[in-house]
Amino acid sequence: MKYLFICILLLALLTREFFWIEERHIYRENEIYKKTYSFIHEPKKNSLSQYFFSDGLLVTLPLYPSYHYGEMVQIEGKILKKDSKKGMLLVVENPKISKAKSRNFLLSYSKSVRQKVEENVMTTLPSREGGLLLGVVLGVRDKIDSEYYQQLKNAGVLHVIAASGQNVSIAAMLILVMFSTIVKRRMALLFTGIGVLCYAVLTGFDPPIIRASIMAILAFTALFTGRQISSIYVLFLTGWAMLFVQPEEIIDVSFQLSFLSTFGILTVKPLLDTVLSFKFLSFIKDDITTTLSAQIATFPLMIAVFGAYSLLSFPVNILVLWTIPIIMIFGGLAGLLSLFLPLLAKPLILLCYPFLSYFTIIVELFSKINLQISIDTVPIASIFGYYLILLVLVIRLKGRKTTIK
Amino acid sequence: MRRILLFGLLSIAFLCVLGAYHLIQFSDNKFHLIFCNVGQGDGILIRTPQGRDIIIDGGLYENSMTDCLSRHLPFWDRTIEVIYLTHPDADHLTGLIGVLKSYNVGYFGTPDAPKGTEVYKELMGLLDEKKITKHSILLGDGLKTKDGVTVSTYWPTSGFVDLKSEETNDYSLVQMVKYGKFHSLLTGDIPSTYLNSIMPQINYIDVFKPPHHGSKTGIDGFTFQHIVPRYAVLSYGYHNRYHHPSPDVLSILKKYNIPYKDTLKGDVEILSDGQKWSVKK
Repeated sequence: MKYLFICILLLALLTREFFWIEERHIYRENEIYKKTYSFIHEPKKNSLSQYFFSDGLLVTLPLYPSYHYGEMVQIEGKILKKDSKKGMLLVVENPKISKAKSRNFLLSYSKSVRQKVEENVMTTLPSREGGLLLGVVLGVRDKIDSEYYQQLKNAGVLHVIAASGQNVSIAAMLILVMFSTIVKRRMALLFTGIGVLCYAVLTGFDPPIIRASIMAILAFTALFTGRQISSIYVLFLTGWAMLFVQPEEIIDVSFQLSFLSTFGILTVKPLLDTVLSFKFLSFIKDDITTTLSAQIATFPLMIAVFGAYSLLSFPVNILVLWTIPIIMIFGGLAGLLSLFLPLLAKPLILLCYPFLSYFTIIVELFSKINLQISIDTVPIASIFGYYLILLVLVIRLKGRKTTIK
Repeated sequence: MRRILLFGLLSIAFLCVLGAYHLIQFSDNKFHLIFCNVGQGDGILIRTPQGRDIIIDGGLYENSMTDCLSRHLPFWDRTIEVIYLTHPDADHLTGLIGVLKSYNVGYFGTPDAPKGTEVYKELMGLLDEKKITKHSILLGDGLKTKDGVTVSTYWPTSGFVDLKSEETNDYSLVQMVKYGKFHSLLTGDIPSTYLNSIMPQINYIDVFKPPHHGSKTGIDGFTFQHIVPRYAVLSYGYHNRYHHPSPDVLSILKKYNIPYKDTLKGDVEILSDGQKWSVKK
């Protein structure tokens, strides 16, 4: 019965993806690209331009005027072919652009809330530390200068400034703890669900945030109704739902990475936890196994997509990841306070400063060493092979563990 | 919960140590004139003996000036008393956007030479949003701080502003910064014709910033006829489009035996107690 259900779900998804592939418009060079685009996250910035992807096309704009999350624009421009590190890329360079009035009340409200927090943080901390704090807490990328961005990338810790599942889970824990002291447990769960939704709106709708929020809400629903539900089951159900609603997500790297790393944390981490049963450095052991399992699960994809993999990534992550929950907690509280009593939030923001500056120093130090494996092309077969072996290992080892017990 | 409190206390302890360190490092009761390494363009920070901050220009990138401020101000100092923008070109202006976004700014002054660029509009919008008035600066305008630093303006004259020149460089502020016996002439991007007409009014210069990042439009053979500065600081970036500094400018500096330093490798900081001055190594 259960397998029949899974088969039906899979079949439905396959049909949906098939129709999407059949129907999607393939853009070609010299075609005119016309679209009303709404920024569901901040456009990325380097020192000379702003850019974002729309329908698989890279759209570049001059640095000013700056566009923000929540705004809506009309774009019209010619599609050009350009060489890049990742091969040929279709680009719309400096298209004609005009601001359309955004009717999305939710987005514009969340934008003004974000701005309040951003201003309070940036007027309290030095620019790098401030940018990092906003990146960690809200996934805001545009306050981080391009040099620092490159350093974070070289050191392999760029994922901390992207809104990620970890953000959502820490935010959810924070809210739950806060409400649990005020109201009854079931009410607290309900409020936390709402809180997680608000947080998702505030951080922008990056796929990892959507994934983590749906997962968190499903998990809370399970707790609320008193049912037991396996996390892996929740993960796959969430992935299914997201793809069913937006079939194009299947080729989105951030969706793939988010899905795979969560899968790694749910399956590989328990194994690592039993293997690495040392007492030494117990306070970062959890970080070590989490990082390692996420890296194991995403390694081939990282190489395939970015053409490079930083060997520094692992040691740097071990050195800095323990600061993230602390920064999230102090920073999250400060962010919340910034909305009502900005002055009182400042001491809390300052509390993050030592951790942020430790983070920055480590990143600046390590980014000078360049230890990257780069591979130009990765055969698809080897990627599938890797995951097949990983899957078999996980299932077999898991089976053995339960038989020992 | 106990762990969070522990980390909180740890953080407070660290902040106290850092605070003490910054207090010793930055409160030396001296006058500081810092030519920031802004990558491209000009960015100058003046820190008075009592810790008041004056900024003249901000460099080409939004973070160029704020990075420099992080290096030279204690972390609790989030107020910039005065900002001057010598003229509205992007390589002088953009960094000020970053400063306005993350510091409390008391005063903003610039010559009356608006520009239609998007960066300029962004800056003006930001000034409006923060309710900071834009003051038009002319010959004779300036300031004097309680701890004895003066800034006085030599250019543009009101007669010149009325001419409505097309070239924004022509309006560039030329200002003398004084502390006790120390004199420094800061010139923005002023062309040599106007600079040469100003030089006779000046009788002493310790540190001189050749205009326009060492471009040959900035100084010529006549500039140092009346007065020879004792030191020059050139502000320019690597691989800049215009190949600053020009060999002509360097040879003029050599001819008059003016030692110079550039901002390529890092900020150039000048210290003074009002009597003597030195370049920080």
